Amino acid sequence: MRHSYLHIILTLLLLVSCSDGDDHVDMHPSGDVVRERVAVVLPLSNSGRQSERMRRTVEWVCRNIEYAQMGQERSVRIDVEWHDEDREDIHRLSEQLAGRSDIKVVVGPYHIENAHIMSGVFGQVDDVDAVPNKVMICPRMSSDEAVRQFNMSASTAKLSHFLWALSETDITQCEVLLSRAYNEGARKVGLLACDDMYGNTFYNWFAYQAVEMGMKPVYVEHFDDDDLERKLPSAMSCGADFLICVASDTRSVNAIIDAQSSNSSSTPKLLFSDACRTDEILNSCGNTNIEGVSLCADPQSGFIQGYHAQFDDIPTSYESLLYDAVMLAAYSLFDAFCEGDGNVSKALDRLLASSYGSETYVWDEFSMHRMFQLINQRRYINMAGASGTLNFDRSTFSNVTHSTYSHWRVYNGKFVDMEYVSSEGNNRVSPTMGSWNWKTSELQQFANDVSVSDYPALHDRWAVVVCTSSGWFNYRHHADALSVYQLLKSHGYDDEHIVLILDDDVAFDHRNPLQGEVRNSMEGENLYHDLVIDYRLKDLTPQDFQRILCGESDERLTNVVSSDNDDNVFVYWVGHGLPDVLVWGYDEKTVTARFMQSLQENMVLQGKYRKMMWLTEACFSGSVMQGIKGYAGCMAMCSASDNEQSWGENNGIGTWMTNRFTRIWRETVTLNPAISFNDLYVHLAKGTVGSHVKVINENRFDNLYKSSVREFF
Amino acid sequence: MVTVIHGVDGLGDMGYNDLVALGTAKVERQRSLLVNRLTPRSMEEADDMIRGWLNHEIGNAPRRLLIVGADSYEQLVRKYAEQITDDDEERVLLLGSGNDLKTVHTISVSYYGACYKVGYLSAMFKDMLGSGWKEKRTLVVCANPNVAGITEGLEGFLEGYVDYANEHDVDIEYLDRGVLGFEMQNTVYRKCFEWMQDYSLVFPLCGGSANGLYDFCHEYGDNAQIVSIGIDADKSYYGSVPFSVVKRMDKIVFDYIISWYDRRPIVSHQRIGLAEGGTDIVISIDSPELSEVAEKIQNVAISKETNR
Repeated sequence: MRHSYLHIILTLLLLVSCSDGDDHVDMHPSGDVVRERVAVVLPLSNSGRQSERMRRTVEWVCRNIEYAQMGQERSVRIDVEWHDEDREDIHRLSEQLAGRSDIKVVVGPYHIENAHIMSGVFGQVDDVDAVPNKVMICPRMSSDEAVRQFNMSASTAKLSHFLWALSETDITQCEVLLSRAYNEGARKVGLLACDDMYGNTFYNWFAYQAVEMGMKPVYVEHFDDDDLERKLPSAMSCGADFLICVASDTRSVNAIIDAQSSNSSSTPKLLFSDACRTDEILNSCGNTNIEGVSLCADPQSGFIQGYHAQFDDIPTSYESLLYDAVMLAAYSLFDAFCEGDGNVSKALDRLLASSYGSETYVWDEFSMHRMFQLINQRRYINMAGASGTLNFDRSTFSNVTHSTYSHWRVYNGKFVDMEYVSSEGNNRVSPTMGSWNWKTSELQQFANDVSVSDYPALHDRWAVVVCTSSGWFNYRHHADALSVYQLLKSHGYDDEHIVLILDDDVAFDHRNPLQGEVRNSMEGENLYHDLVIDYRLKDLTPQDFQRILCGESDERLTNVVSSDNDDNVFVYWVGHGLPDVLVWGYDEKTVTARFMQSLQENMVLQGKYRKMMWLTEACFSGSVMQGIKGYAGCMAMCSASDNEQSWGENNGIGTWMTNRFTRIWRETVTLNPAISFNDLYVHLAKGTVGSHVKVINENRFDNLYKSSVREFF
Repeated sequence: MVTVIHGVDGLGDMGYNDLVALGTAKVERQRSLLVNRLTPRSMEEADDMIRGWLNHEIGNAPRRLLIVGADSYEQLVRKYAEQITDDDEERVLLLGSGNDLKTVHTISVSYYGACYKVGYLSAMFKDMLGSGWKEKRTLVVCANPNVAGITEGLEGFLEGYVDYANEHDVDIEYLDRGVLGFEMQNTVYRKCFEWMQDYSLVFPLCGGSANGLYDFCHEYGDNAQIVSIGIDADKSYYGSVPFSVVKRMDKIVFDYIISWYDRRPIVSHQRIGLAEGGTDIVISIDSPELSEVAEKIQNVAISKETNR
């Protein structure tokens, strides 16, 4: 690690040129210079400071791009062609830009609707030979609707990979807002969102996310210019602790603030979304201490300080993203120039696909200088911009996978950042509530010094997959059981070593639109093939299940686990749970912690396993699996702790198609079958929003940092 | 060329490290100097960076300055002391160290005077708190016991506190014995649940870790029943922060780089505090009544800091 880091430093910072030695470099580019026109489409006629901010940010990054290339043998010169999206017809402008061969990169538009329109026009370009290699770098295309529509049409678009959006969708922003509300004590929440593409994302996701986070959504409303006044009284008396306000114009924001302050009864606290962080709204709301969240620069990039020094001001939303958009335009144009094919689309692919080395910020003048040199040498690194990580969703490439948000408030007539938040979190950025709560109170810490007696060499592996529910509305349990079954087979288990217990009554249910198929998602693979179902659930009792695990075969139980004390045994249990009991069909009494204790004891006494792993997907599963505590060599990972529900996902066919805990487990193990148990737990704990993953008896199992899932897969 | 090695995961702390970055950014802007910002993720990476700079693998230039941005790097700097020459063309500056390292320039920022003022005002402010608050004790949360600046700040705080109240009801808690104490924001947040039982006033001498305290107080509002003191930068916008002790690291760094750039003579070890404008306190606009008192004790605080 140490060696590799130094290597990266040498690669990035040492570099070759003697010209590095000058504090002031030659102010004139030398060698080959290519001039490239970049269309920047922004709201420029805004009478307030927003347009001034955008202009100065673009001019600043262009200056840095120019200075950073001084003295280089090859360089690119950016000529900005400004377009005012508030004044120009966006359809006509899009068509015009799509057809121009002298414009390879468009930065913008800023407004989500306009970005949506332009990406639609670009996606319909027929004559790609005439206008190849066009890219659109959007600082702000955060509407899930716009992104979803783009992704659906992207497969048929003739221009490939033309849209790069530098923010996550507002689904994440909605989560961040709700996290803030929750952290400030909210248990009932409301939403008042503008009725446009921007507000729709919040409107669509708010209630679901609130419930997922354990809050009650008591008010969810759209508004437009005409009915806001009418809706405000009910919004202010809805009984919510917090009202999330998604408004994009000053008039609406003021109306909401006025309604709150004029209502004498207990009104909800207000939390505003990013569109409210503008100078116009600041001027108009005066010293009202409003709070909200907005996209912001990565606090570890140093951009905020650079901006402060440059403009004696702090950046508002999107300025770091706008900066990055122009920076990426320059890098891709320069890379296409160096490559000799002028293809900016491929250039961006190359630049952003590289994961070489530690992530390195490449936004300031110094690091830009290095970056241009690397590109000139056809070398690529894992780069980050002012806004942070520039990793894109590899399946669609449309949006970055990570954004940072600022939790701000107005204090003393200024916006101040109080905290940085993201869905991931790090030392300087708080995670959103789902994982934050975990980190503050629930995340299990495993001992790193666990000493267990030596295990014998692994001889064989056995598995039991049991789905303890039946019927169409338990589709997800069936689908998950089958997905684990198929995963086991893909990792070398044969049907002789898997006992599959399943009622098998969903694939041909008349409500199944995918007759004869079972999937975990609409796009997922069909899991209903090559099955050997050993038992129907309705034919077995919990006692039979115990006998199967203990290898006690008879005329009825012909397929059992014939394991020995040098074999590993894996059990996947999926179904319903109640407090202190796992439900077996209609039996809501038998499978208790005591039952599990008896089962485990019998297996130990009969020497039925070397190591045994339980993966239990059911509500309240933590309460029952406590029964295995104290027995050597076994461990349980449960989807929920003692008093929690477990959650379904993917409601594509009128019923849930998978369970969240199992989905994350499946994805993690598929991606990395050698992952340590500790890392697996962290993935599960972070991803299973809505319940708290529980690990039981790990101290009698192994050191979770050193042992891996590989022993079972 | 100026190369800055920020504290481990330091940038984004809304305090000390961000102010150092601001100081260098201002130089970059005003003097068109190239600034190479390095943000190590571990001490090991920082070690590589210092070695790389000394070997001319990083930040190479005919005239260059390395700013080692945190006193937690002092051991690393000492390790390479023999390779470092005190040369105007090639200079190493270690921020935060109170030691004279001969070939390495050092700047220590004395918190004593500013913390004296904070201690005095804290005791006074607590006296003004209502029933249910004033009976609780005061807590100083220190990043670790091995950093001279922390110890100095603690001593200043206690002296100021006693000068107002004649005695103190202050407890001290250390977060860690190493550098982690400055980046334990989440731990501090968790600990607040315990602290709120016993303490009504908390002074976090722990850099970026203090953000956990501010978040907690903001989120729980009056239910938190904790008044917190700002550290490193003005934190009054959190609402329950009546005053903050600030290090003007941006000014300190800016002034040093400009002096070096202009080839002015610089003493190898500087101790900058209240008298030099390197530290001070900022009173919240919500507590204007404290400003007058703060002004009155300014000279006493400077005198105590100077005569230590």
